[in-house]
Amino acid sequence: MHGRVKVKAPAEIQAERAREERALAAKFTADLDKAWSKRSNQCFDEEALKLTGRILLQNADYQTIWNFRREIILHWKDHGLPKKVPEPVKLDNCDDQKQDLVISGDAIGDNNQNNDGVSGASILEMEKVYMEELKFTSSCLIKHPKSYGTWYHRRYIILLMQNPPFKEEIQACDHFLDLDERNFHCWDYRRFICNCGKIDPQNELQFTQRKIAQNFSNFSSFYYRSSLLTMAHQEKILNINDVWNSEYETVSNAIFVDPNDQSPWFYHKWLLAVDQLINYQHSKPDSFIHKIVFDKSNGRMIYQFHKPLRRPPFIESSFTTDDDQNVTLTNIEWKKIEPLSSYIWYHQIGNYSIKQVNFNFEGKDFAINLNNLDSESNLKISIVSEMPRTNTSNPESKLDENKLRNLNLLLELEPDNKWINLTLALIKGGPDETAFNKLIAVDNLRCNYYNDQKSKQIWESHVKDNQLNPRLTLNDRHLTCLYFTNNLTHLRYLDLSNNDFLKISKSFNTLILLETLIMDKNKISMVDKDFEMLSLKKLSIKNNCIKNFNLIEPVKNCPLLQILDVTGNNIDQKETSILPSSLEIVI
Amino acid sequence: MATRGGVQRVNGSTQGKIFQYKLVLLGESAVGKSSLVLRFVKGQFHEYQESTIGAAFLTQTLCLDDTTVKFEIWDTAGQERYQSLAPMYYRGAQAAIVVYDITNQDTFNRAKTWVKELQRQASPNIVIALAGNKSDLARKRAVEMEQAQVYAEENNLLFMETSAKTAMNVNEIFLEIAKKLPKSDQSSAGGGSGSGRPGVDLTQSSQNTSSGCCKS
Amino acid sequence: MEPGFEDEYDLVVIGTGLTESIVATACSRIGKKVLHLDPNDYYGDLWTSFTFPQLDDWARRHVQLAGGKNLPDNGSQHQQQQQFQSQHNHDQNNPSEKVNNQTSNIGISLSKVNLTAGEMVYPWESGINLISNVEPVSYMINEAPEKQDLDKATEEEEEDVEEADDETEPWTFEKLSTERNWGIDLVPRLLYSRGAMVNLLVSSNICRYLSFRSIERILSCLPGTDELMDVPCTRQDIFNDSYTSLIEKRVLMRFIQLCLELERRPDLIEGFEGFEEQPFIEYLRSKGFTPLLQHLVLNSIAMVDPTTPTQEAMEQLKRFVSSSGRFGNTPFLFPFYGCGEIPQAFCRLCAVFGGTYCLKRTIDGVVAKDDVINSIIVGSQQIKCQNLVCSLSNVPKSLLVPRQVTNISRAIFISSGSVKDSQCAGSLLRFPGPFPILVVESSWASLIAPKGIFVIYAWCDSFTGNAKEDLLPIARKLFNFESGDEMNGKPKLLWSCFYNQATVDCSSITDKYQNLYVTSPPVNELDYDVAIEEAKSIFDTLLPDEEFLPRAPDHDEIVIEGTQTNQEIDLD
Repeated sequence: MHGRVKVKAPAEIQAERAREERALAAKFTADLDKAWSKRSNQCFDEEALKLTGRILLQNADYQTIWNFRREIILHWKDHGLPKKVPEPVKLDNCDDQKQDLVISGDAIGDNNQNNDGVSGASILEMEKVYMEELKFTSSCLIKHPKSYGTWYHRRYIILLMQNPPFKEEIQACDHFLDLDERNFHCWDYRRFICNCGKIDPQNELQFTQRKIAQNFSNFSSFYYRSSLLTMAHQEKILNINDVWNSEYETVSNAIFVDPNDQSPWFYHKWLLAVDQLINYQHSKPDSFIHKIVFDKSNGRMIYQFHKPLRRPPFIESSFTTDDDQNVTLTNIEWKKIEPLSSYIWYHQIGNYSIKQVNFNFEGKDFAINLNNLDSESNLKISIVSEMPRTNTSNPESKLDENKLRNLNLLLELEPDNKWINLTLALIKGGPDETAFNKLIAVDNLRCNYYNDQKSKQIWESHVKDNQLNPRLTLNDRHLTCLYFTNNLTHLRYLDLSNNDFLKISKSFNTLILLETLIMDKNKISMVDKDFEMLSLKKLSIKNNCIKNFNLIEPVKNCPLLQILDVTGNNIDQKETSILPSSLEIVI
Repeated sequence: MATRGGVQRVNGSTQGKIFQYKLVLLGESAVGKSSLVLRFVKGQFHEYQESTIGAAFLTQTLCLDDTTVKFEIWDTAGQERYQSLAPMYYRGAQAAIVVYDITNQDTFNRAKTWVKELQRQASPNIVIALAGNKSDLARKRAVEMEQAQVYAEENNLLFMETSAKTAMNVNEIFLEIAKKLPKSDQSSAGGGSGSGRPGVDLTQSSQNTSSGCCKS
Repeated sequence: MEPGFEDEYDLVVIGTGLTESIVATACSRIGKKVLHLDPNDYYGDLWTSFTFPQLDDWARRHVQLAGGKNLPDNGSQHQQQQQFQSQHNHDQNNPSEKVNNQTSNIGISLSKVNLTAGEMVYPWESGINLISNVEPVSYMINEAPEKQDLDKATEEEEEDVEEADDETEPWTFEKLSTERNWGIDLVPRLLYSRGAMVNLLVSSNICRYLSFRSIERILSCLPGTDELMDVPCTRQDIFNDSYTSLIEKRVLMRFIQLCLELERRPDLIEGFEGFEEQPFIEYLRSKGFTPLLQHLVLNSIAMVDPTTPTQEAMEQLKRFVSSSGRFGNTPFLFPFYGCGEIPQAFCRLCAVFGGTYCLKRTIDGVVAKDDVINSIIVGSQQIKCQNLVCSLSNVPKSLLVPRQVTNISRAIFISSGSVKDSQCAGSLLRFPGPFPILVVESSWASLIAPKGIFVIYAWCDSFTGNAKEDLLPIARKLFNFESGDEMNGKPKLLWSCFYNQATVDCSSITDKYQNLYVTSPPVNELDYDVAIEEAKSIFDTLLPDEEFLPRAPDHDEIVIEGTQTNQEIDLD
């Protein structure tokens, strides 16, 4: 027909493509065979490097080939660069290669006496080789930006170099992050380069600012920024409080533009807690000893610390008894609650009643007077030091009226947005259950998380109020877990009936003095296998969901347990023989 | 996003690098422009080649030592016949072959006009080659080789007499152009519709379907 | 010297403006034999991109044709719309470069014309002039002798010419004239990233001849000031914007998401929240849009009037939002080298599929029997053709029925600075009003001007009848007309030109010949929807059963005649 263009049939085009692909594959296999033979012959010539290069450009995750490439480079480093072989190279066997080396004699670096192949290449020569390696990995990364092997090789080369081109490497990172801003390999590599190259954090802060302006949904940028700010603050390059307002403004903009995006919310959360996070490492209580409790009933001294200790705090102490006897203890046999580092350490002291204890901890002498907690608990206690609470550690104080009003306005605009609900619930603090109930309604998938958060707030408010009362009752609060146990170590009696606990976890172990635990009318079906409460005498778990005794067997770890009340559970098997016979079981 | 054809632009080694250039053919009708291209790209020659409908754009790749040069070769599509070639034709071209017929003095004069036009309108760094085609018809020669040679030297042009029919100097003229073209990253990013200008290439648009405005 | 044309074509097209070029290409693409002529020595007709000397020359020619100096018209007597007959007094002096002795040509060749029974020869006179009120002004030293003054204030500032950043010499008329790389549009346009033109270029594969640059920003003039702000149109823009408050950011973002949702769920737009026929401004107010947001959404994003029915405005917004972020921050693209590349790209494909091109040539006469044109006469050649497509300015006035025309006011400003900040690659700015004015800024970054030069276009439907009167107030907002350097941070003008361009819907503008199709001049639109629609409708009338611009195959899909497809040559 007149003027009609003749077009190849699709099959024809496909066949052409297939032909090309087959040719490519054949070349790849041939290269691979050659590379294997070179490696098995320990042949580290330039062609070997070229072969690995061709293979890796096709398949950048061929670890063995990367290894071979590194072997070649290390060989050159130790034995000198290979001589340039005149093209074309046609070698099947490396003995020939040696022949060729001698004949050609045109070395790449002639400033080094490497003819004998024993002494290594000069630093200068190797730096050139390393630079070529960096360029080569760039070529690989263009094709395979997320290849583990390639990024690893790049780090490896940087570590080999005397003067790595840090600035250029940062630029390369800029480039690769422009191509894919979520390439975590590249983010990691960037941090690695900044570390090695002592890159100015201000430079990096500007970089993250640029990245956030490009896309605020990229949490990598926010995360990097938060760690940079922390570091800059700690190294006194800047004061976090000077930049706080502008950071908050940025993150607010993001939150208002897209309240469903989690990245800015995480950064928001970090900003509100930043004082706590940064100051925590710097704030020091007068002493790391939080409190000392003397448990007269069990003849036990209990020390609670502000930080977990790995080793015993001291090995000897002396104390004054109520009748003014002075007793010295040497080689104290310490025990701790956690298997490794522990906040709580204790030891037995025998049948004394103590009013003062003396010891040396971290080079400081202490003489602590112990006071009766109350008449019935048989406990003596001393709060040695409280963790200093700076005013700013309260997130609410970071937010002036204006900022809070904005957040509340956002809630008005987006009443069903979980992030704004959660943030406001956490900021308000206190047992505001309605906020969490709403969150559970709009984001039911995470109801367990919200329930735990709700529990946490309830605990927080009660722990504050119940500092030195050995009895605590928290009923009908929909609690799902235990929080702030370090502040509950003085409890003798705890009633958590009518809540939503699903199990008795090992976090109860911290309640080292607790004698009575009432958890009736929960949803408990089991006891953690590491459960072990040292003083527990009575455990009541009436009206729960326990199906058989196997699931609560760990209660036998409690050495003093006398009464276990499991009435009202639908236990199908009444066999109790797995529990100690001394235990009185109420069914 | 407009980097087409795998042109690499990070500080990579030149090993395995492909440089892409737009090359245009200019000259009077019937001097053998299309024949030169077909000889170069397909290795063929037909005495009475009619211009192929629908094809005025061919590519051919040349290997130069370490680098690879890919020519996007544009043919005039016959628009030159009535001196009506659209200026878009030589926009962004990094190389041009101006062809005349050695048996026809008019075509040589016309070639000079094209060279002037290129010098006036095209990119200042364009590599221009002058090809005196139909060298197999030397017995009917109307343009002396020296005459063209002198002109080419004065105007800093590559010059060869070629024959699409016998293949004489056809590959050579393309090879010479490839050698003369700058091989920096910038140069190959500078130009034709197929190169990596910081622009939008709609031929890639099928891959670009998401609306970046409101991803959530 | 020049070879003659063939004796018969399926279609003869006169004018290489966009609409005619699309028709020509569509016919050629499906195998029709096309002869495409243009009396000008350049492609594109009014849709062309000029070099600076070409533009200056074009402007001077029009000034001369209008009778030397353009005397200021009495604006109050102008009507917004005029009749052809009254407007085009200078038809005989059509500025396009036509050979002037056509009639005598026909006289000479008449004896050679073969006529069958009932056929008659009709001379093809030059068409009408669509351009009027052309006022070019240069503000540079060394300028051309016939300088005209924009107004008195500009007379004194010839000495200070702003310099481009990296230029030590000031720009002069001479320097602008010798620079290459110009592409100044008479009829500038922007393309929606998902608009009709982009879709057509992609589906036809003509896009391979073109390359675009994304327009980087949309500007808005803050009401009551001369201050220009960047309009935040994407999520990231809204995040980075410093004009909007937190709440405004939320409201705007929510609205944009709603517009996107409309694309997925067209059902939502039906009876849009009860606001369907209500003025859009009422809708915005009811949704708590602040005055700033109302201004941005109405004037810069939807680009509609406050009284536009909400549903119509939402359709505009949908178009805007769905094109956003496809290739860049804004929904708009601008072609490298200027909009004149677009008709050229179509013509190239037409030629690739066998279309014959000849500039500086038009037809001298037609041979017709009753109301059917059987052949055309070009010079001494008689060429049979089945159909004739002609742009309005290439159709003899005598064939046209009287019509109301719309007058568009246009201006081109050449400046050494951007209207806001200097590094930007492209901007769109809309001034609202009963006759909204569109402003497009392009620059050397789009390869349409020498380095450091910005070209700013403005246009609107004329309300005074005179482009200068319509557009000068806007020019004063954007440019510095006072003496002293860079007053108010506004850029200084180097050169400007005001002109009016008439347009009219040509779908039934002639009833003389049934196989003559007339294409309309450019209308006042931002993208090319109207032109494409018109071209497609002509094509569908000509060839009702053929596909309109099917995808052209890529080179590696084509069989080169006489060659084997799998043969390769080894150059090593």
